[in-house]
Amino acid sequence: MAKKYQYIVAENWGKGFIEINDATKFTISGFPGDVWRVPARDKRANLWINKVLGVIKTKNEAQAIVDALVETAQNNYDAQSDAYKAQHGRPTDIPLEE
Amino acid sequence: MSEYKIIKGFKIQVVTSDPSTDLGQVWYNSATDVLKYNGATASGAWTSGGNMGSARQKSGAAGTLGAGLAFAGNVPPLSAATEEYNGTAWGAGGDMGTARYAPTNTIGASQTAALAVGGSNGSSDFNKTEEYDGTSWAGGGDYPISKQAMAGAGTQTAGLSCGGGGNLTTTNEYGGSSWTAGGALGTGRLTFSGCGLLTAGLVFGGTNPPPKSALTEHYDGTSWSAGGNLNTARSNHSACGIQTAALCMGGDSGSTTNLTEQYDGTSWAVETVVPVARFAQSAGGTTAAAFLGGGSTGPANSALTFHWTGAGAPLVQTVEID
Repeated sequence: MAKKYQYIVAENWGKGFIEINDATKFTISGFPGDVWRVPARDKRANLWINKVLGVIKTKNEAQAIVDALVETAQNNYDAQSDAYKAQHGRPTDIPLEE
Repeated sequence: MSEYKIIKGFKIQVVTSDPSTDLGQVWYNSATDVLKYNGATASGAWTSGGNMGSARQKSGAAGTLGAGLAFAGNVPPLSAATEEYNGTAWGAGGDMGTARYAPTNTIGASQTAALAVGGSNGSSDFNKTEEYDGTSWAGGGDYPISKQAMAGAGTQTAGLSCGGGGNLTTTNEYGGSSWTAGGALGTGRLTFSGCGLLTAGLVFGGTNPPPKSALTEHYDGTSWSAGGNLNTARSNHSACGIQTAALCMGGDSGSTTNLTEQYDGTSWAVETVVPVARFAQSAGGTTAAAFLGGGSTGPANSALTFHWTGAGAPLVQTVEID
């Protein structure tokens, strides 16, 4: 099955990272660990990856980056007091789509 | 093939830099060799703004995209810091007197006249009110109850704060120096958001606690009445706008969400999602132009800021000829 998305790692430097001509042409989604998802086989998305100096990751590589951060956060949460847990939700897994 | 001159009666202007034009204008940029036009955004869009000085969640917020404010929150540690936004970059403002997280969010109409009330240090809730003048914070009248996670609306001299931990239905109104009792919320809740004015306020979402709430209520300066439900119930979301034109952004809908919804005074419509799902962010502005900064992705706090551009905004676009 052809993949719908491609993943990269890129640091969001702030203004200019996602511009209006990017945002209105295709969907950019960000995840923990500076992981970003854009449509696969999309000329404009590829130009954006080039602009932000994105490092291409496979879906599994991107998932591993996100999972490591989520797992650390879940472990930190599990070590908290019941009072803390009553006010805060446990960080949930973030499954990435192919 | 038709020619532009035959259709329009004149040639496309050749320029060396993009001009400021009205919607619908077309020109050829000879410096970059591209044909461009000034169109309009068909739907709302999110773009990147300047990163905050510190990644933090549960801050208070006020102001507009070009003159925004974020204060307090949890870095950790608890923060008393204020950051001011100019639409491009965040800079340091005056520190609050009391470090705290989850002060009333959102209250205060501008960067130079904001109001913070309540909040918590994790073990105790506060009743402290502080007023910002664009430079420094000064003490205001104490809130009648120590609380956190309230919602607010209005300005520094005509504001309201409601709900929150403890008595979930309480509303109090601020006149610039002291708090007086207002009408009770129809549905008590906490970790929700508000916007608008004291006499035309809006609150929505939250927890009661749990489950998440989709309920919206309108305030007329005296009492609350029901509005249209959010499409996605959530808590720890962000808000901006007025009672008849508001945005609901991100939050926790059971997991961290990037969903955006826009309110027209009657019902909520699903809008373009925020690029990064986060909860407990700082927001300010209108449905035409807003900022959304900080918050938490779940695993970690974020310093990222995103700008909202509402549908119909001018947008210079390149004509692509494949």
